[in-house]
Amino acid sequence: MNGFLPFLKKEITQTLRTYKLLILVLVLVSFAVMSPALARFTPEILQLSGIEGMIALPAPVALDSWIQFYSTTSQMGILALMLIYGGILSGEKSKGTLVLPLTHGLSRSAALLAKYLVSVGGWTVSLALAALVNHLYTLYLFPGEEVAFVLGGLASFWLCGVFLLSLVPLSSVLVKGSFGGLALPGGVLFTLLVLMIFPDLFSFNPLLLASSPLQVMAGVDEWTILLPALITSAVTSAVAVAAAMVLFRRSSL
Amino acid sequence: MIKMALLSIEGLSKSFGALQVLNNLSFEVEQGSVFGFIGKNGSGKTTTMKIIVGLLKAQSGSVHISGVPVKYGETKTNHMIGYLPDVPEYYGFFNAIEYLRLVGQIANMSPAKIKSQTSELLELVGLQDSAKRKIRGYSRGMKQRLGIAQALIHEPTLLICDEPTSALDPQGRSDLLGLLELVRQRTTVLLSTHILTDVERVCDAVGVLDGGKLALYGKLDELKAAHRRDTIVIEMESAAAAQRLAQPLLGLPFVQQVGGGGNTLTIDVHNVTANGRDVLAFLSEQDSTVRAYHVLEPSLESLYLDVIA
Ligand SMILES: Nc1ncnc2c1ncn2[C@@H]1O[C@H](COP(=O)(O)OP(=O)(O)OP(=O)(O)O)[C@@H](O)[C@H]1O
Ligand SMILES: [Mg+2]
Repeated sequence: MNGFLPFLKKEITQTLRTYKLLILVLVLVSFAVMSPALARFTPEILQLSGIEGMIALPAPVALDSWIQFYSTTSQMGILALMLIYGGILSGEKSKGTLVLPLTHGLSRSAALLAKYLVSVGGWTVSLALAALVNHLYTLYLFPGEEVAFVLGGLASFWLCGVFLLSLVPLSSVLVKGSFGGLALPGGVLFTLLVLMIFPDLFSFNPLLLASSPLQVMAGVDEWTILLPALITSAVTSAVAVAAAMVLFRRSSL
Repeated sequence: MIKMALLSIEGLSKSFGALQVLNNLSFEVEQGSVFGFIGKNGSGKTTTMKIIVGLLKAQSGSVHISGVPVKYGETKTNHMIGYLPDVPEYYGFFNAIEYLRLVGQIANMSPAKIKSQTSELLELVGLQDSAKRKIRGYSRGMKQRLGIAQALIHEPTLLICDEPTSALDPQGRSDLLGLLELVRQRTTVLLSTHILTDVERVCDAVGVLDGGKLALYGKLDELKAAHRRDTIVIEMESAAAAQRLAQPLLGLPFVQQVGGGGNTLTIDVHNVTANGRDVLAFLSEQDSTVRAYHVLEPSLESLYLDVIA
C-alpha cells in the first residue's frame, strides 16, 4: 500500500478543485430544499389549478417531505452520484495520469482504495448535508409535528450508495474506456430493478435500502426487514473492492 | 576498472496479439554511460522502456537493474529508475510544485528533500517562473520539462527518457542535452530518439532496434572505427589541381582507387592508419595547396541506414 496517504490527499484535492464534490452537494441539497416545500404545498398548488374537486387530498404531514426527499434522491441523486464518481478510475486509466505515480512506486491497490474512499466520502458528505437541510426545513414547514429524524433509514440509504460505488472500481478495471466505470453499476442496477419484481429475492435486494426506509420510518415495518439487504450490500461492497484490487494489480494500464 | 552493467536485458520477447514486437532482445547499459536507443517508428523502443519500468509484462526474458530483477506490477526497482514517457500526462489541477510534492511523497522522500530537489530541478529545467501555474495550462514543451524534473526528483541511478526532445524548442533541446551531460555523472541514461545528431552529441553507446533485436549495438566510437572504410578525402584549391593529382596518387602502392569530383578527391587506401602519413607526405611534395584532409568517418546516420536497409 505504498503511497496511500499522499494519493488520498491528491484525490481529496481533486474532488474539491474539479468541483465534483461541490456539484454533488448542490444537487442533493437542492432536492432537500425542494422536497419539504413540494410536500407542504402540493395540495395548495393543486387547489389553485382548480382540480381539487377531483381527488380528495389528505393534509400533508412531515413524513411526506421525507417521502419526497427519498424518492428524488434515490433516482436523480443516485444518478448524479454515479455520473460524478463513475469515472474516478476509468478517467485516469484512459488519460494515462497514473503512469508517473506508479513508476514512483505507488501501489495500485493504494490508488484504487483511495479513489473508492473519496467517492464514498463525497457521497457521505453530500447526503449528510442534504438530510440535515431536509430535516431543518421540514421542522420549519411542519411546526410542532413529530417526525423522527431516523438515522437508521438514512444510514441504510447511504449504504445503498456505498454498494453502487463499490462496483465502480471493479467495472473500471474490467471495462476499458472513460465510461468503463459505469458499465457494471449500470448493469447491476438494472438487474436489481428487475429483481424487485420477484418477492423471494426481494429481501436481499440492496435497492430495498433506498425504498424501504420510509416504511420503517412510518412504523409500518421493523427495521429488521432490511437486515438481509444490509448484509448483502456490505459484503458485496467489500468483495467487489477486494476483487478490483486483485484484478487491477494484474491488468495492463 | 571493469564497469558494471547497470541495466541488463536478456532474451526479452513481447508480442501484442499476433504482432511480435520484441524478439529475444538482449543488451546491457554500463554504469555511467548514456545509451542511445534508436529504431524506426513502431520498432518497439517505447515497449522496451515500459517493460524496464514495470508497466508492461514481457512474455519471456528478464530485466535486471543493478542486479535486482524487475517484476511487472511490483515496485522494488522503482526507486532506482526515473522515467520520462513519450507523452507525459499530469493532474491538471496541480501546479508543478504540488505535482513534484506528490511524486516525491510517493517515492518516500523527506519533506525537506522534496523541497530542495523541487526548487533545484525547476530551475534546472527552466520552469521556475511557471511553477505556481496549474499544469492544465502548460504547453507540450513545458510538460516535457516537468517530466524531466519528476524523473530526477528522487535522484535515480537510471534515467529512462522516451524521445525527450521531441516537443522542445531549439533552446530547450540544447538545454536538455546539456542536462543529460550534467546528470550522467550520477545517473546512467537510456535515451530513445529519432534525432541522430543528438545521439552523436550525448551518447557514448547505441543500440539500433530492428525486427525485435538490436541490429547494431556497441560503443559509438568503436562502432565507427569498426565500420570505418579506409577512405581519405582531400580538398584541393581547384578542380584542375585535383585532376592533376589523381594519376600520381594511383601510382602509389597502397592506393587502391581514386575518385571524387570537382576539387575533392576520395582516395581508398589499403590501411589508413599505416599509410595515411605517406599520403600526406606525397601531398606535401606537390606544388599545389591542400585545403582539407580528413579520414572519412562513417556518420551514425550512414551506420543506421546501413543496418536498417
Ligand atoms: N498496447 C498495445 N497494443 C497493441 N499493440 C501495441 C501496443 N503498444 C504498442 N503496440 C505496437 O507495438 C509496436 C511497437 O510500438 P512502440 O510504441 O514500442 O514503438 P516505438 O519504437 O516506440 O515507436 P516510435 O518511434 O513511433 O515511438 C507498434 O507496432 C505498436 O503498434
Ligand atoms: Mg515510442
